[in-house]
Amino acid sequence: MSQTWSVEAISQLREQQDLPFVRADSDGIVLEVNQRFREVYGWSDADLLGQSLGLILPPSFRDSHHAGFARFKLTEVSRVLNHPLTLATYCADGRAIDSEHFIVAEKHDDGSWSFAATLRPLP
Amino acid sequence: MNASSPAPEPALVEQLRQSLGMLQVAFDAAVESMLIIDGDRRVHWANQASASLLVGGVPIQVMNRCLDDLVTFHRPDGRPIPQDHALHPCQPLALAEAEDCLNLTLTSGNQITDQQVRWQPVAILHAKDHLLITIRDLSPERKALQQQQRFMTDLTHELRTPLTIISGSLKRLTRASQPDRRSHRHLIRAEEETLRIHRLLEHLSLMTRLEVDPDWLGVRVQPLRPVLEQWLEDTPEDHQQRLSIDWGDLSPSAQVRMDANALVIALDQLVDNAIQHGDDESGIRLVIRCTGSRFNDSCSLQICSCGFGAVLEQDSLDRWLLPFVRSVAQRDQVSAEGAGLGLAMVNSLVRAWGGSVALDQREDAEQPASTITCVSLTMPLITP
Repeated sequence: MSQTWSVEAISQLREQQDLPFVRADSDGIVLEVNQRFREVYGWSDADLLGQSLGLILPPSFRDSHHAGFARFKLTEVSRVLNHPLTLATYCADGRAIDSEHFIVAEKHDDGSWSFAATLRPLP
Repeated sequence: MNASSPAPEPALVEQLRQSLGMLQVAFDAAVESMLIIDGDRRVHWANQASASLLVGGVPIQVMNRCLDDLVTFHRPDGRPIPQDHALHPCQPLALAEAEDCLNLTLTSGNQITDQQVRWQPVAILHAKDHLLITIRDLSPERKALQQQQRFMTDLTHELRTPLTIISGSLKRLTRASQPDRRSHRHLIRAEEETLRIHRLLEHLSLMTRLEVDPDWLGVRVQPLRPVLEQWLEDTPEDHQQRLSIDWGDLSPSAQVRMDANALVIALDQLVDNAIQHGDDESGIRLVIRCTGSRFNDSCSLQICSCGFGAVLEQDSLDRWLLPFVRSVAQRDQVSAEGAGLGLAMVNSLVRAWGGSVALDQREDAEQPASTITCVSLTMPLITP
């Protein structure tokens, strides 16, 4: 489930094949996106940083996202981690682009989690 | 939380998040697939079981997808559900709770049989109504029932031969014995008991088969009157003499949906019951009535007989439809008949064609201390 990553590993993941990347804290608050993410989905740092990850999901997906996130906080078990998952990703202009998400999670020494995902827009 | 001072917002959010997580844990632990669709038939919420069933994935992968792109519903015989079915894509969202046994065809092409699909409207404030759909796999239960039926069939087969031999031997012994001897009475009693076991086995076998596969009956639309006339003709003469029939306005062409052989078995059983438990002197009355309404056309056959004893409460009468429920008339040294499966079997047969059985008792106004017992069975009346 969890995989250890270092700052270097995250950096590598972020730049891997120049894929869009997003990172969030244990509450699902967006901490970081890369330039490719901004280019593909049209979001700016001002739009996203400090906001819920739910923003990059179409509105109809948000209930499920929040429920799944809340469940993970209780159980630390999830079926969305560590494998490719095709989901719609919401753009700043309201379009939804089907993307392959690869989501990973890491548990820190203080017990909190953080999450990172690379996204591959599908043709 | 202290009731007088509301929790600060972050604490409240954290509590709500925990509650949401708990709910999701519970729903994802459910074996039944559950999903909520909106008025456009798009999935608004789903649990893990439904995601596993429909896409082999996680709930978020079925979100916002049209139900009809995920699954197609079919009748158990493989035919598509009719256009007026509540789950047909042409229909607006169902307004009433209901369920059906259906097969599913998934996007992957996989076909899944024996699913109990239940739907229930969900009223949501400030939004159009939604529909909660639950899907439960019936195949484990059906498999268990089939095993039970196989066991019952084997058991009946194994017991039938020795019972026939015992019956034959008892008949020979009875014929050879002196009627005035005490042993003769014992032999007759033993013969009656053997016959009763034989009948119980036949009933049990029939009921088990119906439970596993109600479609086993040859239910079809056919005229009722010729079937009843043929049954009356085949009825033993001593039974016929006690029977009176009120045909009402039943025309020879009135069509009902039922299985003719099953109806004959049911009527024979009800007449047997009336003779067994009723007053030897009184007649048995069969009343046929057809009632039509826009939503519920049906034909009812009511068999009434007169007996002794107090009028029973409706609850007690309803229990007679259950297997092995003992009636007031207990078995004793002279009467071999006791609790059995007769009415339970009639109930199973009638339910298999979509009818119902009801019992009713009342005091006989003409004969003090007498009770009239009526058993009514219904069948769908088919209007052209």
